Amino acid sequence: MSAGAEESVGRSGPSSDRRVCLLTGAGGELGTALCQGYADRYQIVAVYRRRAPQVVSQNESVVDPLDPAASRPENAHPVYTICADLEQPGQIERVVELTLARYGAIDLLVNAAAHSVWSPVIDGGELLASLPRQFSVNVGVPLALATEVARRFWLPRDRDNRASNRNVVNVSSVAAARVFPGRGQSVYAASKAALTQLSKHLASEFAAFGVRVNVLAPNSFPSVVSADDVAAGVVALDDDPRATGRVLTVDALAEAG
Amino acid sequence: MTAGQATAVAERSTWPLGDLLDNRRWVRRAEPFAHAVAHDVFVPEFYAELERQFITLMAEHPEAFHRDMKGYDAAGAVLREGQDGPLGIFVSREWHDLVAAVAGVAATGDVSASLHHHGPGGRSGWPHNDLNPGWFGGQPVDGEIILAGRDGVSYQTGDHPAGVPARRTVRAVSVLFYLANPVWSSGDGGETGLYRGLRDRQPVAVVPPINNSLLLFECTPYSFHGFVGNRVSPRNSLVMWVHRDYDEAVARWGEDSIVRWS
Repeated sequence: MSAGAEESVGRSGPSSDRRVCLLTGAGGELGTALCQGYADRYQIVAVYRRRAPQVVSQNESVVDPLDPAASRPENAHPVYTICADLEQPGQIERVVELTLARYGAIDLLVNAAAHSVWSPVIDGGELLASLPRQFSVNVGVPLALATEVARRFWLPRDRDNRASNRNVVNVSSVAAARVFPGRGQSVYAASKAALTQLSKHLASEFAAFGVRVNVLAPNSFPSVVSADDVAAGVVALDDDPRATGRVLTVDALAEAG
Repeated sequence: MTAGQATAVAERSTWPLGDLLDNRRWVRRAEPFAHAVAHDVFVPEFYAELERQFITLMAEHPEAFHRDMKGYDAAGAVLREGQDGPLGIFVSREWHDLVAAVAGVAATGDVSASLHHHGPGGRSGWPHNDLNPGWFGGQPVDGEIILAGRDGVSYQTGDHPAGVPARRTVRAVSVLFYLANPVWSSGDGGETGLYRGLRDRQPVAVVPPINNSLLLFECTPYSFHGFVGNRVSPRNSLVMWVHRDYDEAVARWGEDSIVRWS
């Protein structure tokens, strides 16, 4: 019983005019929405730690039980899933290596993996104990991954990067700039604020080789805004060739750049 | 399809699967071994008939459910020749052929099927692969199936009455169809766990017992799966196997891979 969807793979990787998107946090709500909604637009490398996105991939395909041999349109654009704990040594390098080996390029990096522990400051040691990991996943990993992609692929390709509109979207939060009383978001919000500010610095530095860096700041999804709307925000930032160093808010009440 | 039409279909000897299947978007997955899952398998009216028959059997014929499966904390009721009502679909040639085609195996027409009931607090089972032998009486005829137990042939041992030939096969495809369960929530347990190895204790993936859904996989030396203990609610399912020729299984997997009944 063959499980994975098929896509033609040549010596230099699958042939396609779709842009290559390296996505972390692919098993979450946003990751799944991106994979489900935009696999026909991007060749998505979907990195997850525990829960694989339930989308058509090399490990998953759709079959008609009454005609199992028939091809299905849903199987036309499988995402390529990679299970990796990006906090572990060597895993970021491995993910970038696999992506470049398979597709030969990275056009869009979406840092959507996140770790959140919400707890009052004065309530035992849980919050303090969670600080290193929240900053590691929410700040350290996006920085390390963007740096590795830049080092391995973007740095020597200034002209190609601009022509291909290459960019990074870091998924922050409205909590980076606002206080929601009673939610215990202090450390989480601080880590997202750090990610937002870090992204602005990356935008400044990466401009030298033509790569844009932006921030998406959604409210809670899917409770306040839909994951589809957040995914659309990622694509909007990717689509805008002039956007860099920008924070795009996705909220139920207003969207502001 | 109305409830009356569903009942009428359930009384037929042939099964129009094109009318009875609801979701034709089944999902094949590769990890940790090749399997397929599907939600909303049957149209709601027909599923309601299946559930009603299961509940009626449990209530009116509890003696049909036996707790005699080694290492498996469930009571089972075997489907026999002449199974009537909507549950008969699972022992039909149409369903047999569908299952075999989705799994991509050449099946013999031999079927074993049971209803399983795990009471609340059922213990987790051990990972196993279902690559077991199965004995049948008679010879399959095109368009028909042979159910385990025909002519008094023991499914597990092949013991048979004098003068009755017994034919050895190997389980080719396992199907678990979940029905008549309370609404399931994460943490309730009762899933089917899928494992990478025989000695693993943590499943790589789990399939929850959501009504009108199924899990299907080819039985291989590596199709390790097991019942995950149900903490709060009963877990009900229909479990069935189609089979393949014994020699073909041996040629493919080796005779030592066929797991003897203990």
